[in-house]
Amino acid sequence: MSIASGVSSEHIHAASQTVVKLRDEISKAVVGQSSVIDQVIIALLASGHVLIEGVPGLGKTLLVRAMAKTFNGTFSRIQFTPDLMPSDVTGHAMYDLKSESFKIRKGPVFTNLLLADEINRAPAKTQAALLEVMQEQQVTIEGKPLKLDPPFMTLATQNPIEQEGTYPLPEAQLDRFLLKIMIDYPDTNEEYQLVHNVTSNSIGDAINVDDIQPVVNAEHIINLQKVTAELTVDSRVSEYAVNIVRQTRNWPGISIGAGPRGGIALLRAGRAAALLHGNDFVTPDDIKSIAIAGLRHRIVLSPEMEIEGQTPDTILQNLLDSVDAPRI
Amino acid sequence: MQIDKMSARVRPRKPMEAIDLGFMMVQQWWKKIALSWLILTLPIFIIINVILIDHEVWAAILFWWLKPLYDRVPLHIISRALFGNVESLKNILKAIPGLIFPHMIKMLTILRLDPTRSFNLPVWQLEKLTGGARAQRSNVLKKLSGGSAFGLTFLCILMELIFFFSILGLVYMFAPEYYTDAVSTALWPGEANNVWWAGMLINFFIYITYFIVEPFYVAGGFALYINRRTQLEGWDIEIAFRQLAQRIRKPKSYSSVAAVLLACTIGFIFSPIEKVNAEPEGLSNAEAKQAIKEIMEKDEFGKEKTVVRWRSKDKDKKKEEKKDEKEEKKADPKVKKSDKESSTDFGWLSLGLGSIGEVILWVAAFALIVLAIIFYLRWSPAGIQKSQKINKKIPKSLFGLEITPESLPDDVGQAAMDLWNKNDPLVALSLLYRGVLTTLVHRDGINLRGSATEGDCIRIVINHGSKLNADSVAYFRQLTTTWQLAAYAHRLPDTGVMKDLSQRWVQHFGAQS
Repeated sequence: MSIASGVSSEHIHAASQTVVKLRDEISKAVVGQSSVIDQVIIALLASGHVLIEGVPGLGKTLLVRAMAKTFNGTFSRIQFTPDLMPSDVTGHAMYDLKSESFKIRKGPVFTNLLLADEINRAPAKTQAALLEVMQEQQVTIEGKPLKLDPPFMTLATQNPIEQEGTYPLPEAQLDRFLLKIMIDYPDTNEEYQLVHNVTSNSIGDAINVDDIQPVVNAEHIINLQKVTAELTVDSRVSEYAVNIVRQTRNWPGISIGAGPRGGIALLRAGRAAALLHGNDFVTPDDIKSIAIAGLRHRIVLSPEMEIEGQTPDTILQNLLDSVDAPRI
Repeated sequence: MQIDKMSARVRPRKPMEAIDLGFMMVQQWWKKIALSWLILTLPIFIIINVILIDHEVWAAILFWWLKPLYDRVPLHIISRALFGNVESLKNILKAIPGLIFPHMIKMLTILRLDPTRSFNLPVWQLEKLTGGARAQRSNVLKKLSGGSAFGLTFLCILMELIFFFSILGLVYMFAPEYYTDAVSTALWPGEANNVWWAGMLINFFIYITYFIVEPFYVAGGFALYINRRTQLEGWDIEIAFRQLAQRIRKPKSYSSVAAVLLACTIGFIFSPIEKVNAEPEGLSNAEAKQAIKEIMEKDEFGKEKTVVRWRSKDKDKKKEEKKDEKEEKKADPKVKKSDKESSTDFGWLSLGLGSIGEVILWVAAFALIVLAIIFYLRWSPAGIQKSQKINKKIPKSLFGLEITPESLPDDVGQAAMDLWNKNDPLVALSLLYRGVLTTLVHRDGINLRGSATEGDCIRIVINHGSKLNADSVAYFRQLTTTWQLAAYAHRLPDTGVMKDLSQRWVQHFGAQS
């Protein structure tokens, strides 16, 4: 039994090539961080949102702007602060004296790629407003539902240091993110190249995405998302994903395991990973490759593991080493 | 020395009890002990610390080194007070010079580190013995109380440490940060920013601990000494006889019996009694013998009872051997303590603790060796290879598949083609793939886990650097891709591809070793 593909293999092949082109273009601006780029593309293809965690200055904004440019999409950025209000995110109605009527002023969420910088600095009310937009893909202002233009993707960032005065995202809201991506320092060569790229022929340290050529347009991205959603998934691969998720609920180091959304996320992201790998079908390898990113924000470690300094990644790696891969 | 004037009850005590008696003595006369100790030591402490103001560590060591001198004052007070002579503070102070100087050099040099100092001190100070006589006397006394004396020293060292750290703890809890910082730096000699008074303050803390612990140490040792003498010289018996003799003198009618008893028991006393005032009178030899006979025939002395029971022969043998040993010991006049008594000694305790410690050490050493071996097996390159060889034995089935060589047909390629022809393509491909995994696990000793996906298997094979040549790896890649397409994309290969894969199987993975 399998979830059959309704798209021809040529179509899929072409889609796969487009995705590779997309990745190459982004790599021109973002030096190194190949796994981060891959995971962001996977989230875009799977029509999901990502939470990026890393210290400041590792090129998160650059990544989003570069990505927006590859498909001529719009991009906006919100710096989350403790005094940020929900209407600053979604928009609001304003009374226009000339026309003597209320005019709706759309907020920064009306865009293709939204960078929510340091999302944990805003209070729960504002976070919830954004997370609702992510889920519903629409904003209601003055009782009027306003649809967001697809593709819409949120890239929220978090800073692992400076936890003072932050509002950590509750588990239920973390679940809305398809992947949680950890961004780390680049290695020596990559950093050397990065410093060279930023400082050559440029004034100041402004982000430069001029080298990036648009590969597709927003319509294409929607098509790619459709193709991704229709890739073949064998029932054993789905079982494998579900087994992994179910195992998180019984694993000794995990006090709260992932919910069914975890399994759904693994399959969605697995399909996108398969397309990125140039396949028109999903293998257990695809699921395994995104399992840690797809589950690390959906589990809560047991207190003793946290005291021992274990991270969700190590626990999940051990868990993946214990779940049997499907075979005949 | 008038033992009948002793202010404590005279009886043989267990070492613990004796030490406790010593502690009680300190509590009884603590005012005099503390005052005289302070008057003697405080000036010494101040002088040493002022002279060695820049070398506070040396000051502490010097003050500690002079400890045997200070011990003599508490001993002087206690030893007199115990025999009913509680001296006034004035007299004590007058006696101090005479107490400190005798044998000072010897005490501060070769005998300074004596672990039973407080026990030996009375021999010096009270018996005033020197040279060989002192050594002999000390040895006799130490025979059965040496362990307890050593235990007391150890206990007092611990108590000093506890008090010292408690005082430090108090300072850290209550003193402002400026002072605690100064104390912290002074605790580490050689720190550059030492405050001049901090080292002296720490020395003063040490002084306080000595002030608290030292009198108890001296009194404990003295009590052990008194107890040992009570055992050796039968002080309790002597006192009992003296009281008896006093009673005999008054009513004459009982004198005959008391005198007989006295005569009988004198023989049992181990060392000569200093003076026995009671003298037998009014009985001839024959009468006395008759009286003894009568008394011995009474129920209290002369009753005999025969008991019959079974005993193991070996036990008897051992008992006899023990008996012999005992008799030998009895023949030695210096050893006069029963086994039962010695079992309550500190020596026994330290022996027991020692043997437990030894066992723990051996177990720890053994565990360390085992851990080292495990660590080596796990992490050294040779060990990793070895553990992979060990792993070779483990897997019989992986991923729910039988992967023993026996579970495979003799000719895997042919069997796969047969299955293909029987219209069972997925099982045919599965057989080829399973055959490769079996060979990798059993022939090449590659450690494949159940959680390894197809991609993982390829990576493991490449990283393993096994006997597989590039062609075999390429074949494995092709087979994996074909298998993945069939299993997960439901796209079967052409018959030609299948034929090719089946034929090449033997070439790459056919040789089972």
